[in-house]
Amino acid sequence: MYELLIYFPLLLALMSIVLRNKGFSVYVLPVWSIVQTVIIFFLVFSKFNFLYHGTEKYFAVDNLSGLFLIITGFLFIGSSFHSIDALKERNKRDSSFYTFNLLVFVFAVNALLMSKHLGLMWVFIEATTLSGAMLIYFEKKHSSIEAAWKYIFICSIGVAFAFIGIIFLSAASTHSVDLFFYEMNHNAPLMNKTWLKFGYTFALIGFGTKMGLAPVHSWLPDAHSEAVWPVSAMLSGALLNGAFLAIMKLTRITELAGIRSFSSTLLLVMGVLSVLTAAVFVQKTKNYKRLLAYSSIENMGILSLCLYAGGGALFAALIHALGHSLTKASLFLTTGNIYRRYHSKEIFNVSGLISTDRMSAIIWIVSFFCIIASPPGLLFVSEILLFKELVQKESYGLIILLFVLLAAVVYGAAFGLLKICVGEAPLNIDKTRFPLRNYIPQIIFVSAVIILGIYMPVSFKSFIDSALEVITK
Amino acid sequence: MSAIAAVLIGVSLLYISTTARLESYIKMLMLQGILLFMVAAGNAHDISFTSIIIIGVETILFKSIMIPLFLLKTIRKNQIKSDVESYFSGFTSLFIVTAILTLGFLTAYLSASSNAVLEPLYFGISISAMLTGFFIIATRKKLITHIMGYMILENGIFLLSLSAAKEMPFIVNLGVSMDIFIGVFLAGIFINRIKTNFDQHDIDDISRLKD
Repeated sequence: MYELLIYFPLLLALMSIVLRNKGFSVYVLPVWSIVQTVIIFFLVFSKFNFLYHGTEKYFAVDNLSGLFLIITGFLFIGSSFHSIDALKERNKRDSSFYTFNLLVFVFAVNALLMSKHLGLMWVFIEATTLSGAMLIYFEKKHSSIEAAWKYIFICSIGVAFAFIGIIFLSAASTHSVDLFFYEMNHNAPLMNKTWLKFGYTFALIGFGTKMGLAPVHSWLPDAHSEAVWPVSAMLSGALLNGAFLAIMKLTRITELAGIRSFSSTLLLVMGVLSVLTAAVFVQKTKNYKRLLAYSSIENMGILSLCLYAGGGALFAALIHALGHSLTKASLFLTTGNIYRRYHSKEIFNVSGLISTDRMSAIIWIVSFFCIIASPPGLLFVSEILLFKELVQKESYGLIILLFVLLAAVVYGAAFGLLKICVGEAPLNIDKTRFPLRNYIPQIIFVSAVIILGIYMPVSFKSFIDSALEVITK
Repeated sequence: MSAIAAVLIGVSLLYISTTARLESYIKMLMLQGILLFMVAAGNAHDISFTSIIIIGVETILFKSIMIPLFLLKTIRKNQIKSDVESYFSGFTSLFIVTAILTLGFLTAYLSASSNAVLEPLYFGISISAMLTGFFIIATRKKLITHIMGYMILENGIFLLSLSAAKEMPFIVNLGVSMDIFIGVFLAGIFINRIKTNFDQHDIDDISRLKD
């Protein structure tokens, strides 16, 4: 059944480019996104025997990939409903081009999340780069071409690094071992430590580029700010998680091989650098979409630190990934509502959102409080868990540093993101309400984040725990 | 035979570092594709018809014919001057790439004495090719030369994967080649777009987005 998640998006993508029918291109996205999410739920939760998984050679759905598939599924629903409005004034050629690339992107993300083979995972991560570049280029302005060029070039070189890492990993395994994760886990204790260290370093730099970890993050703010808003949401919520999954699985191999302290050090350095970069650039940037992009870098840094801390922080990593994806998607989707009213991404050109679009403003403010990890959001829970683990490790220096940097991020983000809600609105702003489909996805995402932050059902906890077993047991 | 081909790849790196014409870069990329085919075919574990076909598609078809021709077309279409425009003079570049080659062989020598998982000759040359690719990307001004540097880097990685004794499943190999090919293709399209959409004199101006 998992084949549906791979072949169907491709098939629909081809149909949209062949048919060149605007109606088809626009409405195939929401329909397929809902069907896909239902399929994912069946794959992850159903206990029916005919839904075999884990037996295929190259793909499998375990609970960990299942969690990320679910996140991707929900984000895709949200962004495909927003795509209806993003494509409203486009001709059929642009629409089919957009739909083609978005579906190929979704295909690549699905396939990468389900890959059991490291090399195959690489192939699909690079495939997300290619389809993502076309989506960033969609607006065809000079700035979007520049962003697309940087994205494709920096990410291609980054994942080339990852491929070097993969080759070193295969050199590290002394027995004749294929690059399947379970085989590598099994043979990890026998691996040559030196080559494994080289391999892990290169792979971390490579997949870290894709995940947006500093110092190899430079494509991320450009790409996220220049893409159309549904695409920004997908990039930030689905793509970065995919690269994180690869890094988690590789870190597991180093743990089994007994060089976890080495990989932890690298994760610590990249994590702190990412939070630091975000803390500095959040103060400087004058574009609210770039500001959100820097916030993504910060959160990726936190994910990397969760992985560094290990233990209970791994649980935090997964719920942080979930919470960040949903909240950030809600913010990015709302930027669409803002941009269509104000026609500007500059913070200083946008003011008085509360009076022009109250609903968007409320969503924006609530999502803002969730993304800075204030209670009662899910990110608050995950960051508390991270700090708890750090206290147990007695790394007080890191805790103080993180507090300072996170405070700086909150200050900068609050200044930029809240400013656009208040003040006098410019006179010529259109105040007509958008259709409900422009609000409902965000409301659902943010409410989910808040509800899970206040009350986490036992079944949810046990699902996350079972997902963790994939990388801990 | 394979060893000679590998050494010739090293020599082609030296030539790339000195030449000042884009056409020579393209000729060298074509040559490297053919040489990689010779290395790969000489090393294939089973010389079956299918494996030869797959290696041929990866090296001859993609690396040596389609990508160079596409780059040549991009150059003609955008009337890019055939001058390479480097930050360094030819002599300095030659000196640096020689140093890179020395470094590559030194690494290979050291790695060979510690353990023998990677074929030392290929390993040394592949490291040199990857570093030369980076060097070209970092020191040449034009966007099109960045793509060429990326191709040299990818050729180095291909050689590296040959130097590791184990082979990837062919589906992975084919996927990797497809990705690289489409990547270069898209990058070329972006260069075309910058020229046609904006009538820019300087198509290499990509420094507007920043904080």
